[in-house]
Amino acid sequence: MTASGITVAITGLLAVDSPQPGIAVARSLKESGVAPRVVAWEAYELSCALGAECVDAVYPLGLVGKRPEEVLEAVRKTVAHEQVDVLIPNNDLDVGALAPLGANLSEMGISSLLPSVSALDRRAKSQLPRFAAEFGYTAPRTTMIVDASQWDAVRGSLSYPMMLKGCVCDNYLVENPDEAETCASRIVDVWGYPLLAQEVIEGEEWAVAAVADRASRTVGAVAVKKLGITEHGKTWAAVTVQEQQLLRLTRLILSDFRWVGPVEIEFIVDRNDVPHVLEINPRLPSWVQLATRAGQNLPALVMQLALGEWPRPQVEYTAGITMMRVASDVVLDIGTVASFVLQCQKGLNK
Amino acid sequence: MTGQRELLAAVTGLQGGGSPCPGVSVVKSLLSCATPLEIIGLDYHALATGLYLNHNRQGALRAARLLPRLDRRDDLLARFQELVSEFGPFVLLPTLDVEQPIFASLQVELRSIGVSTLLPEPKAIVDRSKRWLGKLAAEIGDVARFRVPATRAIETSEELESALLTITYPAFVKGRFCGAHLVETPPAARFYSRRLTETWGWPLLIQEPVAGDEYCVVMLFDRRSRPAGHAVMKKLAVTEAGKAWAAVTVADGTFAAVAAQIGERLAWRGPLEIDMIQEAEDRLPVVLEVNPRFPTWTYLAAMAGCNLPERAVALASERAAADVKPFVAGVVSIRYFEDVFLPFEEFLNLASEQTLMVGENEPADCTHLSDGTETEV
Repeated sequence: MTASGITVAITGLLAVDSPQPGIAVARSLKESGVAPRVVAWEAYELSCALGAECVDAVYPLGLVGKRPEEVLEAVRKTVAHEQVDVLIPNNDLDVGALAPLGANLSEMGISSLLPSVSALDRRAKSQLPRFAAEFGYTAPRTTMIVDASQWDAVRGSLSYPMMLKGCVCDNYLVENPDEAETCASRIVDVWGYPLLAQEVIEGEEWAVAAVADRASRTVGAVAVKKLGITEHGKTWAAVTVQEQQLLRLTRLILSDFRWVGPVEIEFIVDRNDVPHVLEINPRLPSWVQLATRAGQNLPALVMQLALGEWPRPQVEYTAGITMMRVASDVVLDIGTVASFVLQCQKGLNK
Repeated sequence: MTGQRELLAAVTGLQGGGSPCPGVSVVKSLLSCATPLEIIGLDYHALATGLYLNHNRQGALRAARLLPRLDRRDDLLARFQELVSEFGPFVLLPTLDVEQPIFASLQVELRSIGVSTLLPEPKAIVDRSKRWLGKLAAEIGDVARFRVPATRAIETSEELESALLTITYPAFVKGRFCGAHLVETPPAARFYSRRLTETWGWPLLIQEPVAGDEYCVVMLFDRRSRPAGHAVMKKLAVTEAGKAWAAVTVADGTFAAVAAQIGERLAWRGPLEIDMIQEAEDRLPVVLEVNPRFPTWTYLAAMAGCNLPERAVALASERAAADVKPFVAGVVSIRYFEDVFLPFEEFLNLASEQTLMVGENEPADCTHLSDGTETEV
């Protein structure tokens, strides 16, 4: 129990080459005035949360691949050991699993700030080009491929190079139909269909992290320019910028898509200065602590809004704050990992 | 007090974004050691995130500096001369594969200007390369009780095309310096081969996959090629590229014995990391790679009680130091990250220094690290 008496549960803690945002969200929460107790709901036994300085307890709980009633049952079992006040999911699949369950969570005393299922569908990679066009935004031309026979039919006629994307994760820049076939089978093996073939836009990559309240009004937003990205497009170095065009677009998108909750919108700005909406991710980004250091603690805003508070909308932040990510390791005695595995539902209190 | 000046060590390979280089792990080991020493962080690129560690850990680095391209040997020596003028003599711990042949060939010149190293002769670096590993195994494999997977070095895209039709799938395609992908079809092999050769150049290696648990040994060798400390870990989880993101130290003498014999045969000096697989069937260690440097899990070894960078600094500077303690088994590391925050001007300051050193309009990828010589890795 911390001074605030508030406990926040987070998911999405995997911190491999492309870290999920959970750890950065936990660090920002700890830096907020409330400094809540943070518990990790962790799907993996080998969890960095076991040694993370920003996490107070770890409970084994994976949400992905479960039916709604199974998700609720798993949550119920976990909160029987430790009640939580707020839940902030930090990977796309967890948000998808929880989005229809906001009212059920609320009955268990767990507050959340989740988008509606229909809003989630509108931003789905497969649907985004359609809705972007409908609302008047520019997005890369995208062909959605729903099954293997369609893939065989269109593969040769697509224009190369192109980005080949999975419906949830993964993207590859491919130069010809042979390469496309190789990457398609890798993506489909993991994520299944649909597969998305997307036009490559030359330009600079930017992103905005934002939070929308329950009326889809933007209450916080910070823009960054990406300085360093992995081959799969994940950011490891970035700098905050006051890019009014992107911030304005973000406010409009959140309103048009009737979005509720945290979001990361990725843009490519082409050489004519036209921003193309690349992706709308239904969660905070893993670089979110950069926004916190620039003056807007977005995870804290999510927590406050989830709890029904009315935080003052945040507009100001400092441009020119730079983040450099350094891969590191938590080092633990094997007994700690064993305790976590063996104590099953009881979790590990640190 | 002995009256000895505080030691100074320079560590290279500080890229910590994405798939990390070993430098940060070496720096963290030195920061946790008992010897009073200061550290200079070196890299070739201002976006190497470990150069900015001071913003999270005040005083972690005495300074961060950029180096010129590796293929400009005169510039490189001139830069080290400048660094010695600025900071005084120091020990250099290079941590990138591509650096080893260059610094090994410059060790006498470096020493003459005040930069101490603990590096093997250039020939030893060639002899342990993926391409020559088979020869090494043929010479000592029976005695040292290990084998190596069937490996073929491909020199040109024409040779690759004909090889792709005859090799057995699945197979590993591996880059000259880095990168490994398991491929099941010729198009998949072509896809990853193009990426690997674009980044690392030729040759490309095609290697038989071996089923079994993966282990790594890091062993340090002194100037007379005698083992001066080691640790063994088992990979618990790996990335798509086969890099461990979770590992545990294990007590197993078999792997260390193989490493010691390989180091002795190569007349190795300095750190050596050996990747091995214990075959499911006959339990014989299969040596996949012999890497001429500290691994990214060096800090795990240090936390398990075996601080090899500390020992390497002592050996390179020829100072007396206590023997390295045996490592403790059962210590686990799990990949994590630190975010370092700084004003953009600081990045620009270092980047502008780089512009002076590297020249404008140079590609910001890894290819410039390749030495451009016939050195095989």
